[in-house]
Amino acid sequence: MIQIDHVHKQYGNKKAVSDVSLTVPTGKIFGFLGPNGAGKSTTIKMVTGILPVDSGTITINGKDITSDTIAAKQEFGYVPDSPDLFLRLKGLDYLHFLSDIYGIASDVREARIEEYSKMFSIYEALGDQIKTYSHGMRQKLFITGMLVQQPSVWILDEPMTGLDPKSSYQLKELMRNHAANGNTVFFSSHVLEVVEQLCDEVAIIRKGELLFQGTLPEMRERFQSDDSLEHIFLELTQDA
Amino acid sequence: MHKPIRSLIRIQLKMQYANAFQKPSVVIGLVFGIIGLLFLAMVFGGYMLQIIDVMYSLLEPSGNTDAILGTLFLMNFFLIFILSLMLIMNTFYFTEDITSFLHLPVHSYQLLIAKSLNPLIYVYLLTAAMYLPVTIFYGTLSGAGFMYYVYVLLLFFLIPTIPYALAAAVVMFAMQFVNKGKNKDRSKVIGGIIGFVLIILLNVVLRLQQDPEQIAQVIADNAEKGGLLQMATLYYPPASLMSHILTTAGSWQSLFYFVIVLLLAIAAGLLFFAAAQKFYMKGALGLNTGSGKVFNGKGLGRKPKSVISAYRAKEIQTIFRTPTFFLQCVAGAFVMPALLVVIFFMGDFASATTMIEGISGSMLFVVILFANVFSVGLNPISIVSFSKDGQSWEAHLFLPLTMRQIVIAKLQAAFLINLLPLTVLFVIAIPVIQMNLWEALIWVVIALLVNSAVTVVGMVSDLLYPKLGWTEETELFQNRLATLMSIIITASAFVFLFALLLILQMSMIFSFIVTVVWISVVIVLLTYIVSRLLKTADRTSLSR
Ligand SMILES: Nc1ncnc2c1ncn2[C@@H]1O[C@H](COP(=O)(O)OP(=O)(O)O)[C@@H](O)[C@H]1O
Ligand SMILES: [Mg+2]
Repeated sequence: MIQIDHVHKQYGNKKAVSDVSLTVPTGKIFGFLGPNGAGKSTTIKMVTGILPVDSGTITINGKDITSDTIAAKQEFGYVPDSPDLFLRLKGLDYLHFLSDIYGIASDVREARIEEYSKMFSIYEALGDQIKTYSHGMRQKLFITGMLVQQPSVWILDEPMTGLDPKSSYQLKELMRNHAANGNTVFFSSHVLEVVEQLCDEVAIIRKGELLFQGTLPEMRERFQSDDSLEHIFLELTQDA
Repeated sequence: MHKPIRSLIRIQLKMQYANAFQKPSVVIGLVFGIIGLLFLAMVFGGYMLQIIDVMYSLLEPSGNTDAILGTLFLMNFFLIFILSLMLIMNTFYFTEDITSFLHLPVHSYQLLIAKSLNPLIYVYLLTAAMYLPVTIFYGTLSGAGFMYYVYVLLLFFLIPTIPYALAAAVVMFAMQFVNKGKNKDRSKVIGGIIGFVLIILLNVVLRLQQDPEQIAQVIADNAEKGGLLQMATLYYPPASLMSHILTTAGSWQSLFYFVIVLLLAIAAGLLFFAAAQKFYMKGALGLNTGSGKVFNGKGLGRKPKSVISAYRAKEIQTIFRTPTFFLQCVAGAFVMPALLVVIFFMGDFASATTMIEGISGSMLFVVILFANVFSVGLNPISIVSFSKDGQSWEAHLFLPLTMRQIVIAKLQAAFLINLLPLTVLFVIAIPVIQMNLWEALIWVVIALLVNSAVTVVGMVSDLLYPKLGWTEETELFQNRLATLMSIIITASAFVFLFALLLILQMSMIFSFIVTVVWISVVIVLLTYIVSRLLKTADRTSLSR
């Protein structure tokens, strides 16, 4: 479970996130929807401890990211939107590094690395430096890393953007399973369609402000009745 | 200048230097840094000039004073050549941005002349620091006339071009084979090239040393004016031409020699042009692609490691797999100590040994200490502890790592890598100094202490002035305040120590105790600063 409470963030004079409160429950896939520049990544970076919050609190499985940082970070796995990290490591070295950080036993990690890297067809490239991977491959490697780690909370920033249809389908299946097992899945997207296919619950953000939080049927209903939501509906479907 | 070259240079200036001087803290730091460095240069330079003074008066009776100039040109050649090898490999081949230029419709030589901007800045700075003070001082000693100084200035622009162009040709020639090889494990290949060059250098040195009798004979035969100069410049003939230009400045002869040197420089330029057109593309195209090998499951299962050792392993892997870091921090480790010995003794082990034998007590100690500080201080590994993570620093923010774990793992990695130059130096020193067991033990203890101190100094300066927003690794080693800071801290700490030891003139054992106490104090102090810094600055603040 992720609890976001009255969170603000400003870059210089520019408000990126203002007064966002959200509850991401367990057992559901939670979509965080908004056009480019809405503040999705900024929010996710505050949740994962990459950016400090200006004010407000964020807890993950009850652990505060600001005060109980390390314990909170043990709870989640994160797939960044631009996975350009550790470029000089080989894919395999990265997965082992991550496993060591999260203390994954050696037989377990071996099986998981093999299973998931084959599932996302990056197994053959594991001996190469991440630098030589394409954008989609890097994303798949980071997803594999999260699957090897198997944390209870998954946080993914625009995970479908660079993926081919097959991998995208597999990731969605995995997300459904994970949520069905009583875990938390929190992901962002700027495409309404993706969210409609996948989510149990949605939050919509625009210009740093939360416009809506609720279930899919509620969202569809509101799109018709609410003028501001109708507007954003166009923004989100046009670039789909 | 050709138009493409001009625009290529302009875009590089924009990319690398545009934002450097906008922060006031950078400017203030730079000003203080330069003042500090000037002070140090005066202290050290004064010492060097004193030596030259003594040499001059020793050589004057036999009319061999021009040997000083010959040695200067020779040293300059070696230093620039080795430095250029490293710089050229980096800037011509292993920078990321080179791929963004390769598709442009420009000739290789145009691109490479533009790319030479940065390496040439370094090369000329080094030449200025080395060549100008000595030649000017020599001029005042010998009461040289106006033309002498004109030639000094003209030669200043000419001399670096020859070793630079030669080094470029060597690298370009070698790199086409590197690129052809199936296994592009670059670190090994670069190591190979450097090893190869070192072997050639050592061979030259050893060949000339083969028969001391014969050399003594040569010296005796040439005891008349110019003999020693000839000796000194056996290694690099143009050095004697250049010395002649200066010593006979004003005469027709010197003009004639100058024209020859000018022709040599032009020839070097043509060599650069030819190598660029013929070899460069073969070496550069496709160099930064992967091995293309299909992963075969090797290493899939591994023993779990603790967080710190996993992180340390990651650090070391990154350094070995990043050509720039590998060149600067690992390969450089082998070049610098060897160079140190070559420069100071021109490979003359016999005379080095006699020289060392004449030194005893705290003086020998200072030599040991200096050699260690020099070789480990030149290794930039700890100065880029944090900065080298660049964009990947972000990962530290979402991974469950404490700053303490990160710092400890980084210190360990830097310490381990710094052991390389120390070991090389130790191995070279054994035949030169002919240490007994006790001295060797002292050496080892000192080396480890110096290593710890320098590693911590480097890390402190990187914590104070981190640079994470780079787009390519070479930027890390350019206009870094951290580098300057750490040089100043290290140098001042050790200059104080050297001075203390020299003034007190104690026995070996007392020098040892003083040194151990002093370095320990420095380490404790710095570690305290690190822990304070970690408390006040959390790691998100590092990224801004
Ligand atoms: N490091 C930064 N500095 C200044 N402004 C930023 C920074 N990162 C993001 N922004 C601004 O904050 C707003 C939200 O960005 P972001 O959270 O990345 O949006 P998205 O919803 O597309 O992920 C945008 O207007 C962006 O320009
Ligand atoms: Mg985003």
